[in-house]
Amino acid sequence: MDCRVLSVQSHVVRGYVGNKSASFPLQVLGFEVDTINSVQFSNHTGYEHWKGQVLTADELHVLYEGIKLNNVNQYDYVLTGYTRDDSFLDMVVDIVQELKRANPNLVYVCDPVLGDNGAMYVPENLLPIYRCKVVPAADIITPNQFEAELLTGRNISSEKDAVEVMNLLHSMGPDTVVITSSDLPSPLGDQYLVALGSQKRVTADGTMVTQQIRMDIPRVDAVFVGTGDLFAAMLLAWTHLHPDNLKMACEKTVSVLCHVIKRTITYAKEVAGPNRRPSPAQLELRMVQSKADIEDPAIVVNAVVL
Amino acid sequence: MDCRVLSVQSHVVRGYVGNKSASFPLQVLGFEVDTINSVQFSNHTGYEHWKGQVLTADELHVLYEGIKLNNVNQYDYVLTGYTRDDSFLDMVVDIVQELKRANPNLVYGMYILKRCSQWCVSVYRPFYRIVTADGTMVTQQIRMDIPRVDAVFVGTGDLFAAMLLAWTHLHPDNLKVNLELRMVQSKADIEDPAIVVNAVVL
Repeated sequence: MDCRVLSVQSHVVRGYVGNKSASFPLQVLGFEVDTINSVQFSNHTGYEHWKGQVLTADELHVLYEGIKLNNVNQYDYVLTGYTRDDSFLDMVVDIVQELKRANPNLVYVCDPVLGDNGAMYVPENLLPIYRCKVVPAADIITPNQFEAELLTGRNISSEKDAVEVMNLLHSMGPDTVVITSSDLPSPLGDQYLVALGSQKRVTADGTMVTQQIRMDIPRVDAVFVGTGDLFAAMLLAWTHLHPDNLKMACEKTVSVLCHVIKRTITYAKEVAGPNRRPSPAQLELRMVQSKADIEDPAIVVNAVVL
Repeated sequence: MDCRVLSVQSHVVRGYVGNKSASFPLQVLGFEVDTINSVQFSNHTGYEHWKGQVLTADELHVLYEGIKLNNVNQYDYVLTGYTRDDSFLDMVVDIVQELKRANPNLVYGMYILKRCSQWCVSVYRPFYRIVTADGTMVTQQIRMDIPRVDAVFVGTGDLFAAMLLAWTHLHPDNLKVNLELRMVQSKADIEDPAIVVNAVVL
């Protein structure tokens, strides 16, 4: 296939978040993945302890310069996620813009990580950068409900609100928007969470159409880390393999997540023992063990076209 | 299988050397691979240009401390490769020794540099031996005749070491290895290599 992705995310020695979560699945699907590690930590910050080092915006620039000097700065995709530093985020977007000049067909997949459950968990000064600089440069974004509300300044209390917000996000830049989770009620009941997606495209005869979907996803009673990063990576892969079919791309993406999560929670409960809550270490995604599901996911969630 | 490898090697943004060369193949074979990146470079040093940053021995220690504080410093294998710094290498060996105390069955594999200083040679200790079921120690020695390819490949040594780790784990009493460098496109070959070179038992 020779499709080349530049992924700028965290590296953890142990576990599956950031680049560790994104690389293996994309490589399994045949993508060439170039990775710039924005940090190197022992493990994710949900453990009791974490230690490591961060990359500065200057150091990021130096790495990019190396790639550029060798004339190998040609990418089909850029993928970014959790970032905590404003100057780093700025530098990332500068790099994306330069890469887009080199390849106008480049697709920038951006997970605009800002927070969840009503609270921001990155510095507040990142919000204006996402709004004004990052999202306008992005082609695919994967906000959760809280992030979609923050980016647009609008509240989501109904599916209608969500559709309006997705349309607003389209007008800010990206043609593909997936709200990866929300607290909207699911027609299947409270054991399900609702995700929504919207894709704008131009048909063969030149008309602009928008496909919008809803997915009802079974809830799992545990906290998983790295699932958002896996989601964005898989959405990149499956929209590449199924362009113009957001329904199929999302069904495959969400199905991969479901398989990985199911395998993970089964394993975690087994090692934790009966009546014990699994630890963050035990809840690390069973990524390597899920290779077959990543390659060819059985569809376990159907997307409803709105 | 749940076999956990700690690999301390270089990271390149683009290309397949060091950890980039070792991780994917091992993961495809089902190994859990924890990776400490000893450097982060744009690409390997065989290109016209390269840029990046190196990890110090102290920073390595800090990362290991994080793992240790969480009580997850249990490994079945440690894999190391190209290292340029003596204090870094020292720290790696200290870590390996501590991990061996935690798991006496740990296997430490390394790629021995051909042109290595006397000091380096004394630090790298060979580990491979076979003990048969009745307790006798035997040594299996082989020769392989490998077709030459008229090009310079980088990362092949790292891939060799990683695959040697994997296949000796899966075939512990049998020295049998199969290699190819084009990694992502060769997933199927990594998973189930067709034997293209036969080893002659000496």
